[in-house]
Amino acid sequence: MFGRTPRNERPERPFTGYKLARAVLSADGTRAGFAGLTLGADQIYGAVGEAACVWNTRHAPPRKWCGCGFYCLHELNDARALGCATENRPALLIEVAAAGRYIRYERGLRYSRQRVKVIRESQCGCGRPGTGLADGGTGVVGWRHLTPVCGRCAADRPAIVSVEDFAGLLEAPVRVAQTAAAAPEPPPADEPPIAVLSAEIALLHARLDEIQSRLDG
Amino acid sequence: MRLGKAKASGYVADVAEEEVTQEPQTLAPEVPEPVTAEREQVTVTG
Repeated sequence: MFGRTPRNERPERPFTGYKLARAVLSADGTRAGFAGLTLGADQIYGAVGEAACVWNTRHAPPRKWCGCGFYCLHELNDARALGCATENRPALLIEVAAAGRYIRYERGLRYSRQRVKVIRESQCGCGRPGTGLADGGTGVVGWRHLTPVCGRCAADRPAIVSVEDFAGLLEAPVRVAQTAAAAPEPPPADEPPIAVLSAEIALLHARLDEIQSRLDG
Repeated sequence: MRLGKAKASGYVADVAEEEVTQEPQTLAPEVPEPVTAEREQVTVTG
């Protein structure tokens, strides 16, 4: 039939896709998550998420003539290209397993269920690979946006966590690719890393509190 | 950047869903409506 999709597919395995997302940290520093870049900027999702339409909760994403649902690209290089845009520079490049209901396009998918598998890349504003995540200075209620920083720029930024620590705060295992977990460069010697140490101590306290609450429970 | 024209629609079970049931077919919701390939263009939003 003219103008219709050729078939309704039933693949055996979820799709692998690539996308950009902002890293977010909960206000108490105990939970991590991701936020979309434009339409989904106010929607926080974890390592495993179900899409919800922000305009109409009565239909299930992805709806045909609606823009709702998760998005991903088939090709890693397309996601990298998207990350070149100024507004997308603070985002992480992540690899996802896309599942559930979906609409398949030429270059990507719109879909209902997502599992973040790998944090692949992050880039500091100076152009070096990101090795940590600093407070980005923005956020939504309950969540602070994080911005990738390299070791050299880290000393100037508050609330640093490593990408590995960030992944550890997600509710399900997410692997950190080698390129996103490079050893942090030491900050310049004339700038004491007090901010870095303070953030690490705060994170340790949060984890100890979480462990204590589990033991009490 | 655009995702381009719609090519197909469908349903695929997540790996985790398959691990908790021996009958992943039963997890499928109603069949999604087909998409008009010629008209729908989508911009990546996140």
